[in-house]
Amino acid sequence: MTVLFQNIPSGVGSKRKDLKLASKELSRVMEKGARWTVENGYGLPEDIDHIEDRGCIPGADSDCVSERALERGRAQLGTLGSGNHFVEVGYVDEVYDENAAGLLGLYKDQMTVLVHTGSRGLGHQICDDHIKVMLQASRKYGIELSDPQLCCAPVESEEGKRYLAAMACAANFAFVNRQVITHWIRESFAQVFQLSPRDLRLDLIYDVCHNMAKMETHEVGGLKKHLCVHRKGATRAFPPGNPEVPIPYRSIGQPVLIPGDMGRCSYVLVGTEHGFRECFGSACHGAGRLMSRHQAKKASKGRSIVRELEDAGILVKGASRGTLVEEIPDAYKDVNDVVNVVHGAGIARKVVKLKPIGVIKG
Amino acid sequence: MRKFEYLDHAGDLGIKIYGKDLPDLFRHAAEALFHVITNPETIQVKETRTLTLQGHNLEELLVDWLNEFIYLFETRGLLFSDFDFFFLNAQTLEAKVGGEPYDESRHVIKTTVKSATYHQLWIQHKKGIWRAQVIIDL
Repeated sequence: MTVLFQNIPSGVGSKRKDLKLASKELSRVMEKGARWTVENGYGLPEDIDHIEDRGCIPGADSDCVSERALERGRAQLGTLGSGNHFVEVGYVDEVYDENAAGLLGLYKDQMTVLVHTGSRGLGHQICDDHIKVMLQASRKYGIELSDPQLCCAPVESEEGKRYLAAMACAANFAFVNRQVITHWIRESFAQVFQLSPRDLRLDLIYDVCHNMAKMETHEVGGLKKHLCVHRKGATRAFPPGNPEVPIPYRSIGQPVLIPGDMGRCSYVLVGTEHGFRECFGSACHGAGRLMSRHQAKKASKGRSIVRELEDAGILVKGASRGTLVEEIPDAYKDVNDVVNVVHGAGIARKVVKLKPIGVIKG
Repeated sequence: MRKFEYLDHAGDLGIKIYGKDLPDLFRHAAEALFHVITNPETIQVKETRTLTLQGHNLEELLVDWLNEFIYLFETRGLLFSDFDFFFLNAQTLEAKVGGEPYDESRHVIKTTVKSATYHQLWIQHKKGIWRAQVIIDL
C-alpha cells in the first residue's frame, strides 16, 4: 500500500510531475482515449478490449474544450483526486456465479484492485464552461428550468452537439487517467513482488464510465428509438449478447462494478436483458450516501477512523482527516442491501463480492 | 450579522451568505469558500490579482466568482483572504484579490472543492440585507 501510495498521487491538488502534457498532446489524449496509453507505454493492447467503447467515446472534438480545462487537466493524468475517489486492494470473498466469475477471470480469494476516479479538473471545467452555454441555450430555446443546474439544449442543436463532443473528450481523458493509474498499480505490484506485471496476471477486467450521457438505441413502446441516455449516479449495464459487450464476456453480459464504502465490500455484477428493457441498460454505480458530508463529520467526532478500519483489517493510506471523516463507512448505505435490491429486481446479476484490505483515499 | 453559514446537503455542501451590500455578500461568499478549503487565518496577502468577470445576472456572477478561485487554486495553488471591489453590478465584477500560494508548512487543506454550482442558487435583497445560497460540489 505504501508503494501504491507513493506511485499514485492522491488527494488535494494531486499532480504528476512525470506526466505533464502540452495542449497538443492533451488533445490527442482526448481524441484517442485509451489507445493513447498503449501507444505511450501506459497500457497493454489487450486492455483496450476490456474498456467501454474500447476506451474511446466517438465524436470527441478537442476544439470544444477550453484552454482553461486543458490547463486544469495538464498535470492530472494518473492522479486520483479527492472526495469519494479511491484505489482499493481487496480479494474475492464470495462467488455467486462460478461460470460468470470464471469468464471474468475471478475466483475465490483472488486479489483484486478497484479504481474509482474520472476526468478530474478537466471534466469539471468542461462542465462549468458548458453550463454557461446551456443557461443561454435554455433561454434561447424557451426551455423552462426547475433548477438552473439542469439547464439544457436539444441534443441536435449546435450547443448540444458541441457539448457531447466535449463530454466525449472528458470521458476519454478519464479512460486515460484510469489506464495510467492501472499502469502504476502494475508497476507497484511488480516492484514489491519482484515479478513482471504479466507474471502477476494483473489483467484489466473492465473499465466503465458513470455519470455520462450516451447516444444509444432502445425499444420504447415497441419501437426502436435512438436516445440520449443520461446516467447520473448510474453506470451502464448491458445484457448478454449485446454487441457493445466485449466478446469474452458476451455470453454473460457486461461487467457492472458497484463499489461500497471503504469498510464494507464491493460487488461485480453483470447486466441483464430485464435491466436493459426496464432501465435502459443501467444500474447504480455505488451504494449512495446516507449522511451528508456535514453529518458524517459530526458522526466521526472523537473517533479514530484509521484505527477503526485497521481493526477491521483495512489499511487506509493517504486520506486527509477531512476526506476520511466525510467518507466513513456509516455515511453510506449498506452496499449489501443496495446490491441485493439490484439483483432481486433483475437489473443486474451478482457475480462476486470483493472485500477490501487496503484503500488509498484522496 | 453573521457572514455565512453552512447547510446540510447530501453529497455536497450548501452555503448561506449574508451581506449589508453586494460587495459584502460576494466577499463573504469567497471567505466561506476558503473556509471550506483551509483555515483562512493562515492565508497571508503576499500577492494581488485583479479579476474582471462578466455575467448574465448576479447569480451567474456569484458562481463565476467562486469558480474563479477554484480554478486559481487548482492550477496556480493560490489561496486568497482579501477581497476589494472596484465595481460590482448584475453584469460586471471588478475586484482586487490578495493571497498567497499554498505552502505545505503553513496551510492545512481540509477539503478540495470541485465546483460552485447553479443548483438551488438564489440571491435576494430584503429589508436592507443581501442573502444568497450556493451549493458547492465537493
